Amino acid sequence: MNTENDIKMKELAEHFQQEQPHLMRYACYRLGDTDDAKDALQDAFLKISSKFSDEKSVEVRDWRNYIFRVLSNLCSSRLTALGKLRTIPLDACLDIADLPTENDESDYQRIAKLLVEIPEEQAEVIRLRIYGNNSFADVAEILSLPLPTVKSRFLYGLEKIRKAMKQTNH
Amino acid sequence: MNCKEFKDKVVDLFDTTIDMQTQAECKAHMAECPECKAYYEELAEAFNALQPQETSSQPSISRPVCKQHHLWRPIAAAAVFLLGFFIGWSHLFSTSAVAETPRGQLFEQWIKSVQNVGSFQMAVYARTTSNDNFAYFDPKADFARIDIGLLRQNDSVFYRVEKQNGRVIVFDGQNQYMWVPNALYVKGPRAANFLEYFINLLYPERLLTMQKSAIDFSKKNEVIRTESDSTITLTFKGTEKNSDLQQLLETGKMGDCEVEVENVFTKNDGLLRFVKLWVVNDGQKTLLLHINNIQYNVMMSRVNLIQIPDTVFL
Ligand SMILES: [Zn+2]
Repeated sequence: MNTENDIKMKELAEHFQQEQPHLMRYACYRLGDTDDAKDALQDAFLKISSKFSDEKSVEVRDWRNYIFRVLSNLCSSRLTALGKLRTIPLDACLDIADLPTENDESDYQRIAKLLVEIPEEQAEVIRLRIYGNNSFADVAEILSLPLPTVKSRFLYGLEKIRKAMKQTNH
Repeated sequence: MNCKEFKDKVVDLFDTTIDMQTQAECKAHMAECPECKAYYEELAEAFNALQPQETSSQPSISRPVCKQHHLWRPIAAAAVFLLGFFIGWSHLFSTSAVAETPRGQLFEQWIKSVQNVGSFQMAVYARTTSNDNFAYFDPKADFARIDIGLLRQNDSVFYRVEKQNGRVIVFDGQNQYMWVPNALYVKGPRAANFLEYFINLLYPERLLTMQKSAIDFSKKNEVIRTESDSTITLTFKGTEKNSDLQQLLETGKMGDCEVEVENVFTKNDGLLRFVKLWVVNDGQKTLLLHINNIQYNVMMSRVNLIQIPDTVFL
């Protein structure tokens, strides 16, 4: 690893640390599992850092967006992989004391129920905007989409969620 | 601003930063157009419904797993002290051949209790550095957190030992993997001595057995039993300097020291929960490591426990 990439590694780690709450929250809402989210973050870190050892120099214009893009893609492939693995039972013995609190779980359930009402492409924009705390311009860069597309997906998503909320209320 | 312009701009009211002018114009339009006002309020209602209520930075959802990943800091290429010798697997489980005396028997029932557990996890806080070997201790260093998870399943053992922001060792039942993120990736057979004498901390019964044999070994070593409503405490004081326990401190900057260990067991299940280990050097007593609240028979996914980075191991 050359010196230039050593500096990049340091930058990468700093950005990861700084953005960890948002990255984590985004991944949690994307994957629906805290541990999967942690793994995805770790994978993202490893994936990006291995780039620095593989390639002579890597140009990163916007660290935050770059990390989110890698994480978003890793979450997609992770979800595909999890779909295949879901039938395999966990090797687990249970300790009831360690189960998560009801509040966090129901909060997540409540939001997950809202997000299933809308197409995935709209949900992804909403997750990146709200849980990843990215601006619309950032989301556009992360997903390689034109800014107007991002904004309209976000609006359509909110409109549909609002409609679904109305239906369940009546 | 007219209704068409409002509908084009309203989304910007949900961005991370809101342009003051856009906000003022939209507000002015809503003041005179109830339809657009109602439209905005519906969007805001949906937006608010999507906000998490929990205060923690991350939601805690789904299954708890014995696993900690704290690999966020870069690791400067670390010196690797890979000892070239391997020790036999049986040695790790062997108990002392020294004849038993009643004093050492104080430990016996507690050793048996922890031998039968299916899994455990614990956080060890030790004076060491994150990238160095697990067996490396330094009384002058700060405390580093080391997470240990171990699972016994179908006559096999699986474990993960992970220094916060540093060195990790995983045993998947066949091979051992050791890595320091972005610095070192090695793979070895089951008998590879990656853990060195730190292996004694990997098994609570092993730590107790070492104290028991030190007691049996020399009259200079002593153990004191105290009791509370819910706990039993065995405090070991080792003045003799050639016992097994001393091996644990062989690597690193320990010098010639005495060892004190406080073991706290819960009465209801007889399991070791808290450990404190001090070294005494020239009359100065330093807390070298402590283990807080060992959890037994916890829910643990083997797949997660033995997960290793997607990197080619040498
Ligand atoms: Zn209007």
